[in-house]
Amino acid sequence: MTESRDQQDADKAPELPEPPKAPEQAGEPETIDRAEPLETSEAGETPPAEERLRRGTRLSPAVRAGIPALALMILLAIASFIPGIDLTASGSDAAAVRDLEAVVTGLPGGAPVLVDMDGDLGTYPEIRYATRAALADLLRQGANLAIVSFSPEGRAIAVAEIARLRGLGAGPDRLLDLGFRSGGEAALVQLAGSGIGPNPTGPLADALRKNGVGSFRLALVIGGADIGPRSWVEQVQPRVPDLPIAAITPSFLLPEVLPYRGSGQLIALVGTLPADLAYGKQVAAKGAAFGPGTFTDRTPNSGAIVFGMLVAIAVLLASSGGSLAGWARAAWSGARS
Amino acid sequence: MRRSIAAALTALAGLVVLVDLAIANPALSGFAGWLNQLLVLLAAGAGVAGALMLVVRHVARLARREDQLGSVAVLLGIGLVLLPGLAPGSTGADAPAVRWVVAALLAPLIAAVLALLFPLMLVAAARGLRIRPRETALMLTAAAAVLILLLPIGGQVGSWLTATAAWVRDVPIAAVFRGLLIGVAATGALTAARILLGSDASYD
Repeated sequence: MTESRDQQDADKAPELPEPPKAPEQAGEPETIDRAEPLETSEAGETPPAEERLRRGTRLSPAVRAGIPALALMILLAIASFIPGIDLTASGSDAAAVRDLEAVVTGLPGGAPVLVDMDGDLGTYPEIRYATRAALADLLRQGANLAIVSFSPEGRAIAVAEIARLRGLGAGPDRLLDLGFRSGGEAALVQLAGSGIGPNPTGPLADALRKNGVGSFRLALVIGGADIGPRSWVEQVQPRVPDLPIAAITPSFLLPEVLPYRGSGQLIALVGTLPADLAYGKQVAAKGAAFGPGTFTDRTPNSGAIVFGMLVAIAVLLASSGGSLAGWARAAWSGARS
Repeated sequence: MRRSIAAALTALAGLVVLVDLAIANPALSGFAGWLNQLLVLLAAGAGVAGALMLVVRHVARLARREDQLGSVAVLLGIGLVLLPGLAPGSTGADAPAVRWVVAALLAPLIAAVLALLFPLMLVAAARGLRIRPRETALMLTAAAAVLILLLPIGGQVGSWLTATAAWVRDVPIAAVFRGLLIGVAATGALTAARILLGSDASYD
């Protein structure tokens, strides 16, 4: 409606300043240079007034910013229905999956496992599939889990996961909530030194309190930016050297924690989306049909992920390509002169 | 005198924790554990003080009638999280109401904010291109290259891309990170040594 009115206005040159808007048009976007007198033009040329008005009918910045975001959301929603594209697992991904599987399979029945749930809400979606697979695999193997968090976001994730596992039938004898411990790495040191403390209750808590942190057969660290495998290797391993540490981390943490896997301080490390998917598929294939070991999560939709990647690549190249080309051109001409 | 007491206390605490790592002694271990407990309490106290300051600041803004909507939202949010845990009969952080608030309110809100990361990064890239076009363009091209390497393309090209992505992650990126970590560790050790020796400028 705005455009047609403006077009009509533009055709009538020369033009008087516009009358005040009607009340129903008051909410329409302002046109730029509205107050300036409009100019005349010769036939066959694009009148400057028309040009200005055409530019002046731009949408407001909020709407202009919202349209691409909305379009992206709609396209991603459509892309999520695209059937799966296989995310290729490299050799190191396959090795990481084998490591974690071997660690879980090697646990004896009833082994207590300490799970540190400290993912970030921003990056947890990347590792949620693998994390749930690991929890299901541990419970299917007969391990008893004690879940602890040292970051508020990790606690939020832990609350949701504990509720989910309780819903699947994990009772207090199989699943112990050690809660949130404030203090960051100092709290980690406290856990390593003083154990689970007096607050947790139940048969599993009693057994763990009696035997201390050293009675855990494995620590599975679901890492995030605040507390992750690095904190565990630095703070817990020197104090409880016999506790093996395995980790599932988002890929942004990999460069930081890969050396620990290389040195053997982490006995397993799953950290890329292809590895997560490969591990989850293996657990799903052997998972229990019911009970806490059930793992029936849908695999993350790789179609939507690939689509998002393509959009990002297009935007990045479109935005930076011109600048880089100009820079290269200038550098080339400078070198020639 | 004040400087000496602070420096001596800091050095003593640091040395106790350091020696506790090297020597297995129950008494020393107990003392180091007690010091660590103090640190945890200090962190909790800092958290409480921060929350109180936030409340004071926003109450003051409400009194001055500045950004009332924002201040009301902050105070309401604080109340929604605190009240279920502090209500009579509540078991604190593990109370079902607190769990519900965390799972149904806090987690979705934080996740929603983080979901804006992608468009915000694009906006930041656009601004970066305006301010420092060459450097930002180089950075964005590198980001695009990494994304291209991670694309799940099948066949021989896909295998090559996957192998290259793994190499880029394991060699150049890992090298930079190791360098950073070693630098951080060296700086940390140096700062710790200065504190333990009482020559840190922060006491002046």
